[in-house]
Amino acid sequence: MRILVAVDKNSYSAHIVGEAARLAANTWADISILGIQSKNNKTGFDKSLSDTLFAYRENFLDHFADEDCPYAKKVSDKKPEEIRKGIWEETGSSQSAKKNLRVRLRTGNPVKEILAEANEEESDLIVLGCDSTNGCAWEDAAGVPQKVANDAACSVLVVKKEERIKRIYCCLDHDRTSQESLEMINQMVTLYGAKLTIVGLTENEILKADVEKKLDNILRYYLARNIEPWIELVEISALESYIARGDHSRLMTLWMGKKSILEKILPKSKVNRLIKGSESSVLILR
Amino acid sequence: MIKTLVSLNADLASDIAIRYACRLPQFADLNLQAIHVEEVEGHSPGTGWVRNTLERGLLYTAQEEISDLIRATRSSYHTLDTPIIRVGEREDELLREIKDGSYDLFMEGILNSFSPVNFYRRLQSGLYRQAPCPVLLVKNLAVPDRTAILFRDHTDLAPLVSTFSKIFTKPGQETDLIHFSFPDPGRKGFKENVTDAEPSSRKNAYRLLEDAKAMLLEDSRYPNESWIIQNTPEKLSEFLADYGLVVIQMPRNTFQKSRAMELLSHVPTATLLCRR
Repeated sequence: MRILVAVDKNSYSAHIVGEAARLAANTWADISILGIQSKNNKTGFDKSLSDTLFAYRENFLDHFADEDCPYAKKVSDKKPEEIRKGIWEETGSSQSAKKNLRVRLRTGNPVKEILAEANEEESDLIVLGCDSTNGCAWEDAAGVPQKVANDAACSVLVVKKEERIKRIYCCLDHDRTSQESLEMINQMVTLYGAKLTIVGLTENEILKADVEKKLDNILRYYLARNIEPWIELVEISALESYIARGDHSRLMTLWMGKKSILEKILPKSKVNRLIKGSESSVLILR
Repeated sequence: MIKTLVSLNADLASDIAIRYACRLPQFADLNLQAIHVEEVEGHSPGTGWVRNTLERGLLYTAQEEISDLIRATRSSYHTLDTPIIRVGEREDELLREIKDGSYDLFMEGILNSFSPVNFYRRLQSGLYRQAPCPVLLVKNLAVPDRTAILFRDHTDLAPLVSTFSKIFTKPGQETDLIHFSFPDPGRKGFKENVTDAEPSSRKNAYRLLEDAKAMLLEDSRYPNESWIIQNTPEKLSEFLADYGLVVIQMPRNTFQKSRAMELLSHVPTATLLCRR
C-alpha cells in the first residue's frame, strides 16, 4: 500500500501526520510526506517548509518503537536533493528499512502537484487535513481538499479536526464496492477503534432485493472479522442531507468508483459542499 | 421462562434479529420460538386438492429458507431449529399465534432507516396495536448488556418497570433510568446526571426517577445511573445509541405523529415496547 500524506504548515496537517502514522502501523505502507511550495518563492527552495516537513517526519517516526519500526529511523539532516526541476526529495533510506518513508517538496499549484505526485507514485490513498471552520481553505489556496477529493484517481481521506472518530458511516455502491474498499474501511475501524454503520440506499422506501443481499454479505464479511456493523437505510433523495448532518466524531465514507451510483447522486459540487461545510471527516473510496 | 415468539423472514432484518435473539438468554430466561408466515399474493387459486398442494409447496420452500437463515447465523439456540411455518395473512397469523400460544413477548427485526415512514407503518399496524404482550423490535446488532429505561412525566411507571424486570431476570445487565422531554422550539436542550445528587430544579423528573429506582429495587435490580435529558428526538437518539436495549412505553396514539414516535424511529438499537 502507498500512502501520500499531503501537508501544509497548519496544525491540522500536524494532526494528520499522526493519523497517517497509526494507519501505517497497521498496514506497513510506503509513505510520502509531501509539501507544496509556491512558484513565487524567490530562493527557489522554501527552507521553512522543508524544516516543517522534516519535523513532520520525526513526529511520524515517534509513533514507532525502534524494534517495530519498518522505516529508517535515522533521520538525515542534509538538505533534500533536487531530483527534478522544482522537486526536492529526502528519502532517509537505509538498507535495513523494510518500507519507504520519504519527504518530498514540489513547486506549483497545490492541487495539481498533489494529483501529479499521486499519479506518478501510484498512491492508493491520499491523506490530507483541513479545518471546516475556515471553509477548508489551505494556505494561500482555496478548495485544495475538495479538488483533490474530486479529481484524484485513488482514494482520499480528508480529516477535519483533532477529535476522535467514534463512528464510521459507509455509503457504498452495493454493486461495485471492491474488496480493497471493504478492507480500507476495516483498517479505519481498527485505526480509530470506531463503530461502523453501513448505509443501504432505498428508492420510494423500498430496499431492492439485490441491494439487501449485498448488505447481508457485507454484514457477514465484517462479523467474520469481529466487527459488528449497524445498518441504516437512506432514501437516495435524502442522501445529501443525511451525509451533511455529521459532526467531528464521524467519518463519512463514500464509494465513488467509476460508474458508481454515488458518483451520479453526488456530483462534484455536492462533494465540495460536503467537504467544505460538514464537520465530519470524509473518506472517498475509489 | 418467558415464552417468546420470534417472527422471521428470509431477509436481512431477520438475520439481525436472530443474532440478537441468540444473545438474550445470557440476560433473560427465554424460551424462543421462531415463526414464519408465508404470504400468498392475491387470492389463493383453486380449492381442495389444488389449494392444499400449493400450500404444501409454499410451506416446504419457506421451511427451507428459514432453516437456511437460522443455520447461517450459527444459532446455538436449539428451540429455534423447529420454526412454526404458516401460510396466510401475516399480521392475522402472528396475532393468532401470540394469543393462542399465550406468549409473553413478541420479537422481530426491522431495518433502521433515516426515514421514519416504514417504522411508523409498523407501529400503526394492527399487530402492534392488538398484541397483548410487549414487543421487542430489533433494528441493529448489539449486546443488551447496557439498558436504558425511558419515561417522561405522564408515563405509567409500574407496568414499564415490571415488564422489564419480569423479562430480564438474570444479573450482569447495567440499567440506566432516563427521564426525557423535548424542548420548546428554539430552546436548547440539556442533559444532567442525577445519580448521586438531587438537582436544584426539575423536582418532578427527579421524583419519577426515584420512584422508578424504588420499583427496580423491589425487583432486586440495582439501577446504574439516573439521567434527566431534554433534547430533540434526533439528539436523544444519538445518546441512546450507546445502549444495547432501550425500554419504553408504547406511544398512546400511534396514528398521531408525535415527537415520541419520531424519537422511537431514530433509536438505532433494539427497543422493547411495553404495554400500558
